[in-house]
Amino acid sequence: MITMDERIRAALNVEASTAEFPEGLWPDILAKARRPGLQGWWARLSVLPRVGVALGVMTILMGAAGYLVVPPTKASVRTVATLTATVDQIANEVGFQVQQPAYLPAEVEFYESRVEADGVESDSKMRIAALYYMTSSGDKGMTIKQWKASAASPFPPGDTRETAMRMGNRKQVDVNGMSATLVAGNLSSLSVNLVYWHADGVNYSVSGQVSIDELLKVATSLR
Amino acid sequence: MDELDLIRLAQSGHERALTELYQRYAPSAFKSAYLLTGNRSLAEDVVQETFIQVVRKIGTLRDPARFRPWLFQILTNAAKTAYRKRFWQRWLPLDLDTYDKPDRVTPSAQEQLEAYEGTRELREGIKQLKPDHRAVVVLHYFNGLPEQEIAEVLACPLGTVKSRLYHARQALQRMLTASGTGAGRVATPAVPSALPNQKG
Repeated sequence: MITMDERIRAALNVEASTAEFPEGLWPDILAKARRPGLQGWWARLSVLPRVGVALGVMTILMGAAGYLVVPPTKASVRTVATLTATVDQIANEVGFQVQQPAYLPAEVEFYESRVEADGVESDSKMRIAALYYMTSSGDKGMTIKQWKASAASPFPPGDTRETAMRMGNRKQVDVNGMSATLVAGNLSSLSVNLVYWHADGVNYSVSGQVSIDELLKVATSLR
Repeated sequence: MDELDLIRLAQSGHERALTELYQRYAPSAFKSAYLLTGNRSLAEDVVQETFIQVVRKIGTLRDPARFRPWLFQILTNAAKTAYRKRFWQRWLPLDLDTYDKPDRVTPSAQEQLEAYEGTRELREGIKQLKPDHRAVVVLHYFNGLPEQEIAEVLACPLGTVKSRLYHARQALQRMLTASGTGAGRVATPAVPSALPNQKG
């Protein structure tokens, strides 16, 4: 009676016999083995070069770590510059008259106004006036953002919602005689609608979990 | 020349001794690598990498009598690396489809073995084992390493080796039973003596 062990051994032998050992590998193996690797290269260095190399590696590593801690100049970082500022304080900081809605949808209330900033370098900082509105239950919200810009854009630079918003359906609408772009629906799973336009060197963006009609009413009521 | 003397000579950098060691061990190392990776090209890479390491590091081997487990340790690690590399290159694990077609088939041995019930199913079954289990099976049944030595090679506890061997055997037995060629179902002839056997 053949045991299971013998069967396995036989199966392996047959399988192995199907692959022929390639001849002529040895000279190549010897040549590669004799080629100095990192260890050999390191061993040949005397003390001073070793210190130099070690310092260089440390500098590179510290630079990489520094990159993680302090992003480079061009990086866009959203920071809250002024928390819960009044509209007048905001206007002083952003350098233009901040507009507020005369109309709000039912149950939506003013929540907070503040100045946000983009960038880490003082000369590249972009000041953004941000007005937040929310229902008392907190399940729906609306945001109005205004910032100086040379062209129309739905979000300040670096806004993480930008990519998701590209998925929405776009339509040109009129907001107080200005041509505005309406981006409708399904921003992520929140069914957010957004309308944005550019006037007098300032970008205006109104977005929220409100219907398109309500959104346009809010937009046209900005004073 | 005695193998221990050969290894000592190789440790002193004697090139002819290294060549002799390669000639003695490389063929079975290649076949082991083939069984572990299931691919001739990978097996070739594994053998190359293994012997590059052997040439570079044989001087660090303290006990020449431990050459064989040391060699298989390098080999299984190289096979793991090659396997992983292949996995990420192809976005697919190695499986039956990636096994190469055989270089050659020895008709007489092949015919005898196919007549030997369950061999074909076992070959396929071994390829389907998990890599860790397949490594234990190859080292034990093909290379003839005892369980304790396999534990050293794979750097794992003896109990793990025993458990893997047990589960691999069970899995293979189940495959044979499922295919209707399980032991006890069919009378089986003896293993042909003409087969190459790497054990020992």
